Amino acid sequence: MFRRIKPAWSASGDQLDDILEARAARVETGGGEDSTRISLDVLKGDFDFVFPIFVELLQKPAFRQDKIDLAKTQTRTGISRRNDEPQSIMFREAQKLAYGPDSPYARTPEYATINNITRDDLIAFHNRFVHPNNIVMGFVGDFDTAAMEKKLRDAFSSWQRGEKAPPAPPVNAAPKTGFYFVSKEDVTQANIAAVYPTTLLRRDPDFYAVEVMNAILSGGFSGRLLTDIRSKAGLAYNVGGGLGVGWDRPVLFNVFMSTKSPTTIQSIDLLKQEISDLQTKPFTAEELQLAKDTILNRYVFSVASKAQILGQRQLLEFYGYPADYIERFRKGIAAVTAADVERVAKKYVHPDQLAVLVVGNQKEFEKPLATAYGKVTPIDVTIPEAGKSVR
Amino acid sequence: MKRLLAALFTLALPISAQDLASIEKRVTVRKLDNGLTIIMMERHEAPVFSYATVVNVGSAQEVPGITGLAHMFEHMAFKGSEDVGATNYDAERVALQKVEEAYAAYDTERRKSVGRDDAKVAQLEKAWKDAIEAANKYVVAEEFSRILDQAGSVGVNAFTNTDETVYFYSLPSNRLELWTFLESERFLHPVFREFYKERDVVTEERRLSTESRPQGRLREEFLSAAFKAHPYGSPVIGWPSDLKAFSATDAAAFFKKYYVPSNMVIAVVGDVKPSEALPLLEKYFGRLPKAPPPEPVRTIEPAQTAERTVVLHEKSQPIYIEGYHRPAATDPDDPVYDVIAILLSGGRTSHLYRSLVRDKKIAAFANASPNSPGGKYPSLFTFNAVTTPGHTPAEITAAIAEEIDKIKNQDATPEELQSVKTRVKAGLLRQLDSNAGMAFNLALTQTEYGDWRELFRQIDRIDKVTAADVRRVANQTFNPNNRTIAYIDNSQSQKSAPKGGTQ
Repeated sequence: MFRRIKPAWSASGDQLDDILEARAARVETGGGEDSTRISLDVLKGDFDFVFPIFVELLQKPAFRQDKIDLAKTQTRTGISRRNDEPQSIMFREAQKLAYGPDSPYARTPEYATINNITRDDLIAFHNRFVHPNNIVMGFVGDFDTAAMEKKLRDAFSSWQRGEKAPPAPPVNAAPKTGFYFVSKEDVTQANIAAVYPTTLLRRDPDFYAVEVMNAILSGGFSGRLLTDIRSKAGLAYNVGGGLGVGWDRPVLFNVFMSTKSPTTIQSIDLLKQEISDLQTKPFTAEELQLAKDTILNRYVFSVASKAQILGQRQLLEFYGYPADYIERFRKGIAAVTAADVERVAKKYVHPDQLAVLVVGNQKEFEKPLATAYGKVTPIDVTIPEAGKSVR
Repeated sequence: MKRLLAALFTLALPISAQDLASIEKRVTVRKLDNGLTIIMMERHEAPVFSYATVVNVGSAQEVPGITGLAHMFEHMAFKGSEDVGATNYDAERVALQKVEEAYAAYDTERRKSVGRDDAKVAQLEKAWKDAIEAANKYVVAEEFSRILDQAGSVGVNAFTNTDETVYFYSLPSNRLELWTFLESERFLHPVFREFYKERDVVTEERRLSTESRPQGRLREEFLSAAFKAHPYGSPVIGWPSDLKAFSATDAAAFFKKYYVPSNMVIAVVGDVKPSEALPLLEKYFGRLPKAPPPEPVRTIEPAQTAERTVVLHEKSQPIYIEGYHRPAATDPDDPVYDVIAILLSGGRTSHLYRSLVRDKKIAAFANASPNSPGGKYPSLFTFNAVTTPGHTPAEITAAIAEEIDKIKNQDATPEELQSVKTRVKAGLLRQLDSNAGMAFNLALTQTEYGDWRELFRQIDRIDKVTAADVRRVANQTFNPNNRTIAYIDNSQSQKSAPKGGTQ
């Protein structure tokens, strides 16, 4: 039994690194928008030795000050470099534009906010959220299920319940119709995004028709955006996006591309046209069939391994969706008609709400954005120094 | 606001379950009469399969004037064939011939250095564009991709590097025959339709990945400084002038020379039965005409006898690369370089992480890579680092030198070496977990070493690497005259803000 094993878990982070890497085992954590993940990946024979480390890290992480300092340095490095690549500016600022700069779904770490975080903050955060009734845990691999269940019960059954976490904060975003510009001179391309906040969730029956519409717009390599803007016009290497549909909160409509500076205006016009076309250019029977076949025939890959099936079940559990959701999804897609797609395009696509964001070197555009479109709002992305207020 | 916490955990298979012997039983290799090698591995866990076609041609086969052509051909392989993507191929062939003639006339006139007639250039350019317009009438745009999308393909893509061009995707296993048809067609009857539009797309790819990214700009400068003779010094994506100049006729000649069956390996992994699948593959791929293999690259990079340093003065934050010439991947010391790279930068126990990232805190990231940009020819052992705020490339140079000094002068401990070897094995098994990863590794190893089993023999060779090997190879490689350093310096821009990176 692993409980009798010498408690490796009292080791420092550096000692844990030695212990884990000597066995090619991996225990990693990662933070997302609305969840945190901790994972263990270990060779079968090492399970009983490594599992207690995993349990200890999950339940009682040490949060040693030296590791906090290191993580802060890493985060500050990220902040200092966040304006170096135009595409990452575009994705970040499009989020801020659509959700609002102070929204938890768009805000970014700043020197001042990182400097403020203390070890006590981390402990309080852990105490508040890491409870067994707040966790969805999944297991997959080469083990005997009954034996594994016993090990898990031994490890976790005495773990006390905690307070249930509050629901995700609301989105509260309003359209920011207009043109926005971030100046970046050391590039040969303009990055363009067209965004607005949507309202749709995956539980809504309209989701299936929207998925089909998205596939027609940008599914695979044969969607409208790729065919028209990349293959036929040769204006972009990457172009994509569509109407986002969230699990438990609305997300964004976001269509984006990059093109050489002298074809920026031409590309914006074309991109806007593709978006309006969703409401005016009829979806052909061929497009509809192609989109549905693409989604349905690909389905087998989403259940091609046990790990994938497990991952899906965890996701459904996390967001409170029924276990047969995947099967419902297939049926929902199969039932979508051209009239459905037309209806959802009229209902959820809002060409009049687009915030068009351009990141690039305006001197090399065909003409200034203001000449082409009238009012253009500049966005200052200067990184606030520590101690200064965050915009 | 964090709401919930999800923990996933996985148990990998034990190493012994997936050793060479057990894999060998499920692998079938067939060399067709035309010279094409097919590797097939059965895995019936799910009704799907993945494949990888490796063509033994990369940017190393290019010469000045056609840089970027190997990659350009990769893009063209998605444009269909005589049957796929065409409404009337006979008419299209004639129209495409006219495009080539018009382009040759235009290109010759515009590149005249003496006596160029600008009015004539404009007129010839118009004639060329008109010819393209005429040929486009016969094109069914993205039909190749549409068929694959509709069939339920995933991961449809390809890449080109210095050494190889690789095509890959996955399909439900009931589409095997569709795949054999499409994959053989693209190499049997390629049609260079929409070539000049695709050249624009590739130029956008260059702007995206190289010109508008500090990392891309630095890497291009680094490689062209490190190699002065061998084609490894030229970018895979190509130089801008060549991307503006080369023609579909050039691409066709390149294709004819390098896309011959004896220069290609195809691996298929998944829910396939060799007894049923091999006859199909023989039928379709057997159609590729036999041709002599291309001649090897002549140029060998001369020994580096002086240190080279490249500095990009620009606004973006410092990035650092340092490289040392080393022999090709077929050299007996190849596994020693792999071990050195993992000792230096594999995970949080590695020397670079503990020194540069954890203790000195001068880098947020520090990596060592055993062979860059390729492996087929003598290449470079490289170090990459990203500085933390307030720290400089000079500090990185000094810190790397310290770690190199230790590797040269102190034996790695037995525990360290054992940990490296364990991780190499586990790393390989994790890669081979997916059908796509297995197909890719089998085809690539067969191409580079002539035998897919080398994939597993490499592990045995890594097992044999000793502490003395590590010191010996470090001492023969990591010397100042064999070093190229490239970094971004933004200290000037703090004062004068120069413009960097645009062409």
